[in-house]
Amino acid sequence: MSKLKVSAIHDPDNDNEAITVDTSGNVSVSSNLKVNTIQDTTGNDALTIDSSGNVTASQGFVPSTQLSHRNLIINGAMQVAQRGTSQTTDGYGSLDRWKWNKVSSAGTMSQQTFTVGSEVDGQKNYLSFDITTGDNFTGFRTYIEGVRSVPSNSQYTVSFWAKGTNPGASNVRVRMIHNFGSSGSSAVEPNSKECSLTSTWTKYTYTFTAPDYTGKTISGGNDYVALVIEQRSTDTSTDAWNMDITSVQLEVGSVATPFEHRSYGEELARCQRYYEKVSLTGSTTSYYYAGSQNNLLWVYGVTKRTAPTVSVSYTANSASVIASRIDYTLLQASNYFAIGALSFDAEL
Amino acid sequence: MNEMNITSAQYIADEGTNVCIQATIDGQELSVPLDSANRHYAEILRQVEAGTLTIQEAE
Repeated sequence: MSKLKVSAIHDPDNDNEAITVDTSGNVSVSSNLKVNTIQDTTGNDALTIDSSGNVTASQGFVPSTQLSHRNLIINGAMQVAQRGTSQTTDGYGSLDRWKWNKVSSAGTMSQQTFTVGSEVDGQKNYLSFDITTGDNFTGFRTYIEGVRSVPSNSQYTVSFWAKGTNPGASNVRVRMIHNFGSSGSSAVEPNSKECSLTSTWTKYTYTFTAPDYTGKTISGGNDYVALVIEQRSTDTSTDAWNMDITSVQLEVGSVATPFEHRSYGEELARCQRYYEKVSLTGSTTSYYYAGSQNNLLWVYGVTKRTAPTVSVSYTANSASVIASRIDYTLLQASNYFAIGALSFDAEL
Repeated sequence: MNEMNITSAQYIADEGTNVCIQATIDGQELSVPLDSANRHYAEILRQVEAGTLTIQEAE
């Protein structure tokens, strides 16, 4: 048997290099390589490709990036709205995990539903941010619990689908905040990005680099990474603008992968780590009777991020919250009391 | 500018120990735990530190 030594094979029509072999034995193909089987070094099939393009791995498949739980944003598909579907006031008020920084602006933030058949990126819902009077810094944000959820010095990518009109004097700003907690080191912000909205639904992708956490102090139990989408600080225009947005994803790495769809139930449970609302109106079990002291121990559906702020709506008499813990709340009264609704807020 | 409009704050005690704060925040009656990781408690502490809010003792 003889050897054929060759460093390049050219195509017959244009005389361009089609296959090259370097001195280390690496083979490069300049154009398409049609193959239906790739074997391992012992001659067993490792990958097969059928005529429809389906790829089958005969043995294990080890990806270099994770296949699931990539998206660090909760409620990026805008499915869950425990507090209500619309708000005109500052703070949390409609879509879970999305907070409006209203400043002096006016308008409405709401959950909207795509018309059947006109869904974008396979989504049912989107967030509508409809500003009738603009102001610098007005915008919406979401918090990712734990600053180290995004590793030190790592690249990470934010992607979303959006359409709308831009604020009066500039584009919309996409801003990241790495916060080390209320008693930790000062927050650090990577360079922000500009998003120029159009009237057509478009996928936007931005890659950031996380700061170096070396030497930082994380303290207070409320550190986070925040994604902020807002009217620029230098844009003091009061012009109206609006933004519809869905499929918001933040993932470690420099590539925006397809949106990671999750079921409503899974997303609701994730949201309830930060906010949970229970309505008892009309239920006879909402009344609590006893003798001189009445106690109600309310165990949450989902353990909270931290001891939550408790809001109770009473329909008869009232009680005192004497304990708020990450997994239960204890109410106490010296008379009977009746509850219409409870909510537990452990948001960042 | 304050992030939250806190118009009243009073400790709630159980058997002589303060266990939470009953506060009116943005017009809502809320029971706030004494936990610095809680955003409402953190804001109450910030406003007390700034001298713009006083927490009343428990009854």
